[in-house]
Amino acid sequence: MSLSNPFNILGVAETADDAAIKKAYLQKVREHPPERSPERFQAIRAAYEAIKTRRDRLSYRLFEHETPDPARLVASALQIGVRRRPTEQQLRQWLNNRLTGQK
Amino acid sequence: MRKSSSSPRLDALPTPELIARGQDLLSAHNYKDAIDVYKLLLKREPQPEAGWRESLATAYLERARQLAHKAMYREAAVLWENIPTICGQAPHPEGCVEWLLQSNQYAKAMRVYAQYQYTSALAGAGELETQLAALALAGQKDILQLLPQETPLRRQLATAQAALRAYGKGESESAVREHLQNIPIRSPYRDLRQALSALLKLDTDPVEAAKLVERIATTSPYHGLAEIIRACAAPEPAPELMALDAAQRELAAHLLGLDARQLKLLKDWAKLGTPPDDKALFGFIISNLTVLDQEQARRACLALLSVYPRGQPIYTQRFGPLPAFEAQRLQALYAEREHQDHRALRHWQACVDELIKERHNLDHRLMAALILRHMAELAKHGDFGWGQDPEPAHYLEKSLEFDSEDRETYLKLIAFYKDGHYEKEYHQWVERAVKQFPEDPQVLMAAVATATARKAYKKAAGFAVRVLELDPINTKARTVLINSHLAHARKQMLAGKYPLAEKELNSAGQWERENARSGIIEINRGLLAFKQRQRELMQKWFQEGLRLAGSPVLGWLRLAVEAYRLKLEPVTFQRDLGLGDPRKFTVHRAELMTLIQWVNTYREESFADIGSLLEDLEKPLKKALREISHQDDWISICECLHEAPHYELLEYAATQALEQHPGRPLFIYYQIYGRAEGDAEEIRDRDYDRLETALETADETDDQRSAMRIKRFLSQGGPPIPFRRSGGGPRSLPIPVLPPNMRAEMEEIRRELERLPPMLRGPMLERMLDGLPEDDDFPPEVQRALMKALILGDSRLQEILDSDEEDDDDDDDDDDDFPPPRRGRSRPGRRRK
Repeated sequence: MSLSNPFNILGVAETADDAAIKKAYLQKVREHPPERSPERFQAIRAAYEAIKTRRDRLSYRLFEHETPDPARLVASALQIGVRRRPTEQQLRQWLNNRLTGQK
Repeated sequence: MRKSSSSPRLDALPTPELIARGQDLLSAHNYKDAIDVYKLLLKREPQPEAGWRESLATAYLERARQLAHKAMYREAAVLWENIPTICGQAPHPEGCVEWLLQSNQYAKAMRVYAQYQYTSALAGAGELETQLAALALAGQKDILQLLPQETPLRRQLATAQAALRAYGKGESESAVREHLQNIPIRSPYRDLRQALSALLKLDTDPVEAAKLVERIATTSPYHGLAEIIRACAAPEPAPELMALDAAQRELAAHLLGLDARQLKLLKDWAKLGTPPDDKALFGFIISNLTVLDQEQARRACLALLSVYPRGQPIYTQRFGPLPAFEAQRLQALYAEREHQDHRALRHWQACVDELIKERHNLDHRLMAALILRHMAELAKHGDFGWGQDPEPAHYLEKSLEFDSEDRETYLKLIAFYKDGHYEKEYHQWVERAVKQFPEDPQVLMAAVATATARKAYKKAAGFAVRVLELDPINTKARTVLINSHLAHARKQMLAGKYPLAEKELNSAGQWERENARSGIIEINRGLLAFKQRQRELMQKWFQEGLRLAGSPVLGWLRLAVEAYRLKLEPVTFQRDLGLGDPRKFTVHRAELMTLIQWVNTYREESFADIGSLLEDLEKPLKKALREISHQDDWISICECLHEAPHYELLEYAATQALEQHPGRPLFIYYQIYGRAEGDAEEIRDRDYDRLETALETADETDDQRSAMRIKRFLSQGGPPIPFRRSGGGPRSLPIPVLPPNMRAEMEEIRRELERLPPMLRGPMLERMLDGLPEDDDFPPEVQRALMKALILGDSRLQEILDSDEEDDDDDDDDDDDFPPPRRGRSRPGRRRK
């Protein structure tokens, strides 16, 4: 079964223990109560159930097939670099291409 | 074609009719044909004052709009250009300018713009001017040369260019702002002002930057730039960047300071499908390894190996070899995904073997236990072919060696042995569970059930009291307590100790809730009165008991059961109760379903005569079955009759159910099971074929319950004995799944052998085995043993395999196997009506 990473959903490290996971779960539930964001709550609840105990966490590690999220991989790869201004020429060229249909 | 065929007809029309035709076509929005008509009129009456000329102008304008809607801007502009010559007017010139710009005819566009600039038609053409301003700013020469004098377009161009230059040169925010302030709010360059202000804010206040570009309309030439700014301002820019086109993404990458590798990453990501294919995703990660977080990438690739095992050599090359445990785990997961359950079990077993090399590691022990439990599930639900099911209970028991505190495993084992009618193991596991979890109501309830089944009522009551202490609303425990006192009361009545019996009945009454009285205590009080020859009292209690039972049929059943338990014939009381002949009862659906529930309870309480009691009710029950329409009801009824058992009613009910749910494998099974009276030997040939077809259907539709039932029945009816007892050695290797027709072939060979004289059977079998082709999966001696077992019958398979493991030279005894035991002999747990 493919599952979104419950550790990411709860915002805890994979080494977190029962208490840390419960604390993070309660915090998330407070942030996303079922009456306000039912779908998010369901996801949080499912994530908690998946890694609540040590056995659950080991079971998740053994049997769950987690499809890697390319967005997450890309996001972490993009968190570097210094913002740069485009030159006047770049902006004019970009605008020209845009308006004349040259992509 | 249409034109040439219609022209002569149009030509023949008189002018007034032609004008009318043109008007009709115009009204029908058929501008193309309307133009043809008006062009004909133009030939006939070229004088400029003709009234229809305006209609022709309208037809041209609307047709031009139609073409522009199809992105045929050049053609649209050409059509529009006809209008001024026809009627001397130029309606909506901004449309023509727009189409000319769209078709990159800038000089022409500027000429039309300049020509009609001051007409009222261009009032409110702000969007057009914004576009012209953007083109001028982008450096389009034709636009720059023909910008009309004394217009904001011309006047504010230099200011806009200066602002752009200052930003591009990297001048300070304040310096750029100074230029921007000179661009008025109603300027055709106002969107540039917004975009540059937002770009300036991108570093310091991205939220404000995103807000600033909100004012840029979607039709603005700067809208694409606004999208870039929004993506760059997002806290998580990656997904936003994906929504941009390639050119936008490139500029955004520049703004974000991304390097070529990161830009390639974005490009590759954009090419991935949604959701991405496993192989493509693996390739994406590997080809962008230099830019990705190494650990994240490694884990992602590792996760993908379970669905894309071909990536393993690349994985090894990039991240090093997989640990043995991990390699086995991935192969097991892949085998499961491919529904190769035997292979999956083998790899999981290898995982366990790897883990327990480090027994001192708690995580390793827990993982080994979890894997074994997973294997039990796999063994229970997997597809292993005829008679080759592996050993769920063995895996569960083994898992407790590594993790003895898993209550669920105890409960599963208890349920497994209970369902399989392995009484000894069932009771043993209940005892172990109670020892391990003395305060657990669910475990204690299992203990209650096993004590009750052993008629250890006092023990059962003790457990039930404990359950009620822990869980005061547990109705099952309460019922057990009441039943325990009732059982004692019966014992005392049978022994003639009536005061003690009354005391027990009073105790039973104390546990009964006022709002949940069933009448059973009252009926027993009536029976006690009968024993004491107190006729009036007896009648009073019976009446009360029947009233509480809820209906005559339920009251009768309750009385009959209680009477049988006291070795009395129910017919003795029928007259006193005024119930009449039970065969003439009318039973409705609700009563029938309650009766089914009670029969199940009596069966659980090991009341042996329930089948014969149902015989008295056959007629009314058959009638009541006609009221059933819900599939779940049919399943409950058939299951009850299957277990009771009452074969005739079962066959009848299943036949009725099949009329409503034709072809449902479970009902076919119940029907044939009832017809054959639960004896596989009695299955008719035609029914055998039907059962095999039903089994195929059940397998195809993933109806595991029916498939399991049919398999059990066909492979001799009783509970499966697919596993070694606890304390046995490690399980043998899984046996490969047989092709579906193999069993029939084996049967055929066996029948052929049975036709031979006994002395020839053994040698003939040996010759056949000698002629077996080589098999890559098994050594020859194992292959021989397997084949022999298959020919001799499924029930001999495990035995022969085991003996093969222990003693390979055991072939001398082969002749003793003939004639092999027929299906259905010496089966455990077999019941006959």
